[in-house]
Amino acid sequence: MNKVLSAPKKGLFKNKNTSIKRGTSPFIIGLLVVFIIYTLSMAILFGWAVFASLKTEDGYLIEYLWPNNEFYFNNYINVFKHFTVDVNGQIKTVADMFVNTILYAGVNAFIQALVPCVVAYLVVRFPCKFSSLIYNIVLITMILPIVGAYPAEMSVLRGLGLYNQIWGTWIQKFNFQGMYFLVFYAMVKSMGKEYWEAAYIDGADQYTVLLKVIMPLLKNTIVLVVLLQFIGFWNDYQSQLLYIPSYPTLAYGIYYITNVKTDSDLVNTPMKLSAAIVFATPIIILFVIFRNKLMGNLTMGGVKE
Amino acid sequence: MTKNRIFKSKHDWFFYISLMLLPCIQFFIFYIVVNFNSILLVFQKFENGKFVFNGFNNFVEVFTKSSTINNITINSLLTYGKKSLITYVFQMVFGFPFAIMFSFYIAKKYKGSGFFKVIIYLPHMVSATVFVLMFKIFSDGAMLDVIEMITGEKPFLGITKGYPFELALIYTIWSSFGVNVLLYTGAMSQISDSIIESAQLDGITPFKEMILITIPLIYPTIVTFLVVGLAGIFTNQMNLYTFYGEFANDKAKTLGYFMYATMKSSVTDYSDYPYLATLGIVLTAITMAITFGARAILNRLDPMREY
Repeated sequence: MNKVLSAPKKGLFKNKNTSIKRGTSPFIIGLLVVFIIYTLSMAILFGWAVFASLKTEDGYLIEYLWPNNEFYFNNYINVFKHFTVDVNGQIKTVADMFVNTILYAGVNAFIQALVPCVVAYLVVRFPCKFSSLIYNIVLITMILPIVGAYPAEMSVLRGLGLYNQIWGTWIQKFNFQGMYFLVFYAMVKSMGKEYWEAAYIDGADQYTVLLKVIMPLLKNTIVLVVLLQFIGFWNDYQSQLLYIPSYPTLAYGIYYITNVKTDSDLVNTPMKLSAAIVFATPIIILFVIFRNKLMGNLTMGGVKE
Repeated sequence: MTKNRIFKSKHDWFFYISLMLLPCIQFFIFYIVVNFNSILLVFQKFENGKFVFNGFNNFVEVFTKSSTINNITINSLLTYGKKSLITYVFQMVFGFPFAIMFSFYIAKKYKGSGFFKVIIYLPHMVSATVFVLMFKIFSDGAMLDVIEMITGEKPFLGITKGYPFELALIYTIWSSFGVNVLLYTGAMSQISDSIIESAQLDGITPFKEMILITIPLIYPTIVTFLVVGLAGIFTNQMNLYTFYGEFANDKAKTLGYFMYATMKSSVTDYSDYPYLATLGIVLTAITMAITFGARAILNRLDPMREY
């Protein structure tokens, strides 16, 4: 009885004795072992790729598995010199691909964060019939599984002159549907109308309230959504390949040297790996800096800090 | 009593319309028009530079043999469909239970959980093109050496040529835990401490806690994931395009890969559009039936459901 009464009020896991006891459960030890194996598989793959990227072509062909005694850093210099893609006879350099990536990933990330945010605010702020229609559209389009709309989408893009235009992708991504609408909707709804009503009493107009009251309150979530979308677009090469083939991004460049390119300096394996590591580095840095934010519990009720 | 009006002035109307207009136009064009266009394409064919009415012939082609896309018969589609189903089953058998167990470990903050969370999420952050490149090169180089060290001989065809589907499947499951674990962990963190505490006072083990308390309480999240997974069953490319580009071995192809790769090679060839649109409509109908059916069944199985 005493034992029960003396139990801590919150979180038995924080009780040291319990924690030790729970930690020795065969199930938990088994999971720990699986985790360690999983981590090792990733560490081995990454570590091997880094060492292999520091080999000469001959060094790699002689020894696939173990690192060489000497490191050949020129592969990384060559990536910047020779990492090119051929688009209908036009050579695109790594600088071209970087600009395209920023225009594609950067702008679209902002669009895909801001449009759902603004529309969600309008739906909450003005709960008219049209707003509830918009809300239902979001729910329905998330549930309805549409397969293979590529041909119809391509015909529409071509018909509107949006095909193979980088600004065409901006219009294509100017949509409010999806999970992030619901995230913003829940956040604005939980704010309460006092926020905007107080601003109106002070003489602010609707645009000022949106820009100077609502947006700053949603800043953390907007930044998180921009980051997640940016990483998604940075890594995406398939949309670029289909919709803007003349504007290769860095992700496409990696795909190109893996599956297409056959006749240049970057064809050898250590250089391909160097290019992949160079391409992944900015995202890994971004991930390390913002890991807590990126892995925060993004729920339909907003971000749990 | 005065009516509390939603729009109090013309400025409110102007504000609402000015910000709502473009997203609505976008929705109209890229959802309504695109899907309506899909339905139109189903009954058309491309002839002499324009689309003309073709009745139900595209359906006949989908269920027999395509006249525009080489060597595509119903048997090929069934083979690709089988691969899509195998992928889903493997994801359910291996990916799903491990995702739940990993999430449980992380949510309970056992030893190293913060570090493991980062490791599990990493493949979601770093481009699939990078991981696939490493995976592919490792499999055809270093992995062969490892296999030779263990078994004494190297696989004759290498791994990407000998086991193209298996390699992509292993990669897909290996790299897929990130988002699922993140969202399951989020759901698990909402479970009230008092429920867990009372069970622990009764001497519950971690395994039983996961089976008897955690899973039933996050059941709606699990249902959402299973249903979303089913909805994507025929669009899942399993990274095959990233692995093999346009030239994936026929025995590795899924329907998702087939749809994307064919569209990519047919961008300028309008004659393939009607067949692809028809196949898309057929698959949408099948997916819809599977998804809504599964959802109804899973909701009935809810352990927290009250009768």
